[in-house]
Amino acid sequence: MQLELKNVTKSYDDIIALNDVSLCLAPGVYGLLGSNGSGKTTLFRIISGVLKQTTGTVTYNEKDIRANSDEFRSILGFLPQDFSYYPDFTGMKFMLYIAALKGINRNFAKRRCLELLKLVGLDDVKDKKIKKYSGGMKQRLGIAQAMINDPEVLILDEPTVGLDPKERVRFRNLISSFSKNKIVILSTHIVSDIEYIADEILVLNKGVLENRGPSSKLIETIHGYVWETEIENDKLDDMLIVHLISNQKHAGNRTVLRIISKEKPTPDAKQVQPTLEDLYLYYFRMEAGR
Amino acid sequence: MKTIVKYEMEKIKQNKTFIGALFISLFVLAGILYVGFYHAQLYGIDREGVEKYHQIVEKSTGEFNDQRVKKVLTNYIESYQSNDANTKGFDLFSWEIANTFIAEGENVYDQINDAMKQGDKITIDQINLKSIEEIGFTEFQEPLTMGSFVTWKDLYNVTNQLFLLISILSILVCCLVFSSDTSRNMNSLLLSTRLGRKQLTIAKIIAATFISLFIFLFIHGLSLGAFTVYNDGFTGWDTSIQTNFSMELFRFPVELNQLQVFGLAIALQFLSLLAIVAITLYVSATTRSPFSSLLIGLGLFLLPKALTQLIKRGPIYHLLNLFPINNYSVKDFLTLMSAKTEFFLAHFVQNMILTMVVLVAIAIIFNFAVYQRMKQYQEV
Ligand SMILES: Nc1ncnc2c1ncn2[C@@H]1O[C@H](COP(=O)(O)OP(=O)(O)OP(=O)(O)O)[C@@H](O)[C@H]1O
Ligand SMILES: [Mg+2]
Repeated sequence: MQLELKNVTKSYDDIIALNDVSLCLAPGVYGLLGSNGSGKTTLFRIISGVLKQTTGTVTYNEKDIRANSDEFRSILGFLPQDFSYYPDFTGMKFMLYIAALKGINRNFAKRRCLELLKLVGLDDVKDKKIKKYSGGMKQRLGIAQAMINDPEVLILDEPTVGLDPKERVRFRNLISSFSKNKIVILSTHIVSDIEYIADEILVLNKGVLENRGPSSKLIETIHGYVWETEIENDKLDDMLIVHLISNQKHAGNRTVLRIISKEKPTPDAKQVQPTLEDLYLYYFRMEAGR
Repeated sequence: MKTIVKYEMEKIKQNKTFIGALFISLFVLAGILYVGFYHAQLYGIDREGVEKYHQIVEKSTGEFNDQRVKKVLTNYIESYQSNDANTKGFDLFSWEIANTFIAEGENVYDQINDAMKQGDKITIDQINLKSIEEIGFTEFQEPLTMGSFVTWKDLYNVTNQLFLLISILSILVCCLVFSSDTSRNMNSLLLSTRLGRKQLTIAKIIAATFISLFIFLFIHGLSLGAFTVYNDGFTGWDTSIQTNFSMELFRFPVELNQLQVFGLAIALQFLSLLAIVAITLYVSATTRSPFSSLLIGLGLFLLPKALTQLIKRGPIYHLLNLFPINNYSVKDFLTLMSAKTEFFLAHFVQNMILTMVVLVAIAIIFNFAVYQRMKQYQEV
């Protein structure tokens, strides 16, 4: 079981959304990390076959997914980033509709949909119309529909948007228990979502796959770059201009800053253990609005 | 597959635009039927016109020949001049026949009125009648049949109007089918499922066609129901179309009765609808919003009519006349298709078959194009 992208490039009229991405994925959970506009959605749409890459190939088990698209789609689960549901369908009806599109036998579909709705915590609202759902409920419905056919390849584009902390935990557990022997790729901006469940993190920056690896490994690359220092409040503005700040904590007329920098930012700064969030900022500092 | 069709129909039925349009259409339908069959000219002022009409029809039905025409007109002139209130009243049946056969035309009424003022009466022999041959009625092996025709002309008018209603409603249904999913950004989800490209497309085509045909049958069913009340059943079904004096198709070259003409009209409308559905589905599959696909769909439906205002002869004109909007009306297709100057071929039957074949071909080609497009659909 292996999903492989070779030199995939996608350019829209004037911008290159993906630039020569090569990637080989074995079963496991992958977290795709990238700032807004870095090409995550573009990558997912290419893998799910709804968008054609400009150049390059995507293969699954060494077969081109475009040439074998029927076959590939039958083992694929996909949650796109933004779409609107049919407001007058109930959650259950929507699930059954997608199950029908996935070619699942009616009786089995019913059981499977009920089971999934329960897993994402929607069983008590399954007969309510979707227009009455909250944002987080819709999001969970989206996650559930992607999993109906027990896909070998599951692609979730920002699945945790709008989920409250309790539901985030539930989501992580769901993915962890589901992901045995499957390729799960999910994108998010919320670092903590993938920190715990992703076996590997893929860093996509401006269409280029900059790095990949387990989070601990990636974090190591910025080992020694993260500092904590305490300063007077009136020096704060200067510091914010000069340094990449990942956190600030006010305490009276002093502020504790967490700074990402290759050099020691202040004489009394102490090195601290980097986190994935620091890593994210390190990669995407431009967008971080420094 | 059946399951998917069911869900697709549900998606259409839940659409607010569709529900709204259906609601409005019911009023329009009621209006058309009311004006066509209940508020028709035949009822006259005292609303007893229809009853009298059927009495006169009953006396006049039969083989179409000069004697029968004369008999009808004799009775007509007499009752026109009688003072008996019961037999008076406007007799549309005989009036149309009088218009056709009395050489003096409308002047005859002045003559009669003048005579009446002087206490005189005019008899049929004082009036100059044209013969069937003189007028040039088409002749066949069997003589033509005369009978109820005013009601049938009303049926044809209603049928024509209903075609516009049905077409517009169907265009509305079909323009939603693909474009509403596109506009919801649903395609990435739908088209990445196993059956989302081939079977889903077929299911959508089936659902749209099915709903359109249901609308078609429902509306024409109601109309026929209303007609049988109005016309007292199907009387006059075997009246020759040439002797429908309201339609003035005396020289129509094919031996058809009024029921056959109605059947042809329905068949033509049915195939037209299939073509309209297919074209609109294609439009829907190629546009991003339901609104633009509605506008384009309606535009394409009406366009051939507009073009015939500009181009009035030649092969392009012939081509334009193949489109439903130019031949949906009963009188239009009967006249256009029997004239070499208006249509590709020389004979009515040939032209009718050509039109039907073209409509079916359009339906097949566009449905296939939709299928191909969705099978290969890529987002941009
Ligand atoms: N249909 C399109 N036409 C032109 N440019 C596009 C199109 N879709 C995306 N882009 C551009 O491609 C780049 C990548 O977009 P993409 O949606 O893949 O980013 P993303 O990583 O998913 O961002 P986000 O985190 O905001 O979802 C962006 O610069 C975007 O403007
Ligand atoms: Mg995105």
